[in-house]
Amino acid sequence: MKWLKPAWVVAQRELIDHLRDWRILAPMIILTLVFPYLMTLAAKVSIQYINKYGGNLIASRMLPFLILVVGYFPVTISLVVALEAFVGEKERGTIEPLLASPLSDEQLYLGKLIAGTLVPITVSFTGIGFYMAGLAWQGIAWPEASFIFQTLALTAVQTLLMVSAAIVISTQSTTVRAANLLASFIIIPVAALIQGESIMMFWGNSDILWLAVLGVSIMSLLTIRLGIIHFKRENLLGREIDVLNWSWVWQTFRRTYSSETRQFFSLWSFQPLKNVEQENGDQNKDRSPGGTVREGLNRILHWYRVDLMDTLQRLAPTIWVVLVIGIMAVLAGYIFVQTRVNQTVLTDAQFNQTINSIRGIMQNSLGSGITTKMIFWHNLQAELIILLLGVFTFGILSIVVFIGNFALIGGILGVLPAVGLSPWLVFISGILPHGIFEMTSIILLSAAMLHLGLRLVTPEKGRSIGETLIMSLADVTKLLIGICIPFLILAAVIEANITPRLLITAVGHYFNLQP
Amino acid sequence: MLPYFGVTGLLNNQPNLKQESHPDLIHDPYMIECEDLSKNFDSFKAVDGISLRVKPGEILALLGQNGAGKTTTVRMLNSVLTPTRGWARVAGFDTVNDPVNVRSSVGVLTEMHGLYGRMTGFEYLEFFGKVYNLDKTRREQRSRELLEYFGMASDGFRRTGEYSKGMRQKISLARALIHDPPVLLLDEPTSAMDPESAQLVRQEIGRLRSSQRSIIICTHNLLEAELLADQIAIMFHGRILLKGSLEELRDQLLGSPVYEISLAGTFRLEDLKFPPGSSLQEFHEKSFRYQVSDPASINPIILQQLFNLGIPVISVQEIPRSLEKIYLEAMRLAGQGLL
Repeated sequence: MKWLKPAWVVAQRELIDHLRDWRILAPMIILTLVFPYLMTLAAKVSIQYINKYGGNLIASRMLPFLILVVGYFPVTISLVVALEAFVGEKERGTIEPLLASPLSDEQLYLGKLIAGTLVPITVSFTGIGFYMAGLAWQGIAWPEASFIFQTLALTAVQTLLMVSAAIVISTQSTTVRAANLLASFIIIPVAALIQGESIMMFWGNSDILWLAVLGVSIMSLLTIRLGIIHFKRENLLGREIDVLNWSWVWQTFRRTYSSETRQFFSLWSFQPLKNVEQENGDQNKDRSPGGTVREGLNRILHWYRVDLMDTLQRLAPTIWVVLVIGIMAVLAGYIFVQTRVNQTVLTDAQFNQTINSIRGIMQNSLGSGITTKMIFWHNLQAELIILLLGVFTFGILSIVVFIGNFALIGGILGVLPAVGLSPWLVFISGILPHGIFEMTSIILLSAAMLHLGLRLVTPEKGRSIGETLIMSLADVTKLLIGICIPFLILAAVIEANITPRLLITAVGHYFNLQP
Repeated sequence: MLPYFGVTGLLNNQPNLKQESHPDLIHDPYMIECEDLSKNFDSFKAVDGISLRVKPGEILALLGQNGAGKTTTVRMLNSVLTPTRGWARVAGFDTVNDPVNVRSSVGVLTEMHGLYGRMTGFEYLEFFGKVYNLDKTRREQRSRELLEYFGMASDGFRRTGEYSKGMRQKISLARALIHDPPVLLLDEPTSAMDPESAQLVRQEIGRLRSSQRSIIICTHNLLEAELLADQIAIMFHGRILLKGSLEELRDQLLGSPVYEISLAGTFRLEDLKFPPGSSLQEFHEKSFRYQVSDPASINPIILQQLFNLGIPVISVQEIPRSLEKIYLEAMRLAGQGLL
């Protein structure tokens, strides 16, 4: 606690300072008092309207959704406190005496984080309080206590996530203007998250919302860790202007490649591969067309052997972790589905319908319905989603999508015994032939994204967030170019042309289908 | 733990004799010491291999153009920036390995005042008192005393945003002194101040020196440096061009002193013989200037010659060679690559 005292001193000053600024206070007060009142009216009118058409369920589920909305808007406004935390002080010239004080980096950072979190949380919860009071005043029954508690928990962790991300932005920006522009990278994803949560609320699936609470909490803690690790008082004084330095970006990206790999990039200009030649003592280069092709192949092999292998070695622990997660996801999916299938008794009609639909799928796969190109694009899209989600979530959502895919395989295999098919036979003939490439590709990419997240929250001396991100993305690019995309092409060719035949050979008789 | 002179000691110009001293400081004759200190920002060399030593009770003035590396040096000495090369010790603590103790031992006046406009002067000092871990009684007492000392007792409860430039500078200096540090790093301490306030601050700096504090002043005010500094270091493009006392710099850069003799009558130059170690610089009908390496032995010989010639001497005076002249000469030579 003694260690936290200086952090609280910083937070206290910040809170007092902001509470004396009417430009911050006025919108917060309006959003705390007026907005909940409007929401209460909206709730009343909507409920009356929906109930006219018998939509009582929708109306009752709209109430917790509105709590989420009432809690969210004040946070977006009071986020300015966190966004200004460091960059605002820098711009006003007040940061240096603070940096010159005996406060440690962590105390300074936590002080700002506390102030940045307390304001939005207070404003948000006060707004929710007014909204709830308004409901009671209007005679509208409150949602169940568990719903209210869940919504408050969601609001709190979302606020923490937004604030922690805003503080990171504040430490990395050089002007308040830049920080405010970057704030959209926080507000828009959280707004999208709230939309997703609202779907879950209307669907009535509150268990998933607890998972969202857990996921957002983890994200918040990782963001706080990211901020503390990369907080350098030196950077706050060193950087003066925001300039997108493409040359630096390219040089940093390039630095992650070995000198041999850099020459690989020169393949297209057909410059001599000096190191390889020197290593092999190949001074009398073959300049014939065949020789040039050989040289190109040599370069590619060299790149795989040296550079890609180096990346794979660095990723090895993460690859193992992801592999284990994948196996567990398949098993979980299998057990989950089989447990439920065993409890279900199919009528003859349902059984025949299931068999017919599986037969339809198999027939379609044999015809021209599914092409190599379609499969490739579908899988590539899935991998790009994994990549994009991973960049913004420390790899967490990459792993979630990965788990979803593997659990689905388990789930499909879990259904098969119910219709009398061997899951092993279907796995070997219908999944493994193309899956060996497709699954390897997705495992490697997910591992690379998880590694990216871990690198961001692990201290690397002298490296900034941007540098770490670029270097990790360079690793991802290597994997994509060297393994993932070639494997996806191979998998698509096999899945479109070979797998259906193998599957029908193995289990076609069961559906009266000939290979 | 650290040399503590106490509020009373500070204001009465007397160190508190009951102070505790850090063990390292007893053996270390320098409060500020750095060797080969360098700082690069990417490929730009902001500071390039400087070495400085400042004893307790000594003031060092860092002079140089904007961008010469003065502020970067101060920031490294205060553990705000990490050196790219070299080392520094402040108050016996290593600036890289022991940054918290370094910052606790240093009072910094930054180039920008760094005031929170919505806080009163008293609240501002109180806040930094808390940051420097002073207990409630001491920080209140210290804030009041400093406000009173700088003639701002009645302004302590006004918001700092309403202060004039001079008042802002004074409250910033008060902030730097709130924890009674043994080392002070002052960047332009009297900039934007009216002459009375500037004199007050200069007096204060003089007092702080006599209470055995080590002080580095970065300034463009050469008169101030001349008045206050025991040592002067002139920086240029991150390097120290010249370092030493004012006298040493004069001798190093401008050579031997120059004297001017004014006469009541005219004389012929051929009648006067300049002894070895002296040379004529300027000659007018009733005055002349000469440079002399040993004035104590040569000046009487020249005066004796004038007396023998029967020419009455009105005055003999050394031509003042200000720090400004030294500085401009240093910059000229540095610009030509001669220094």
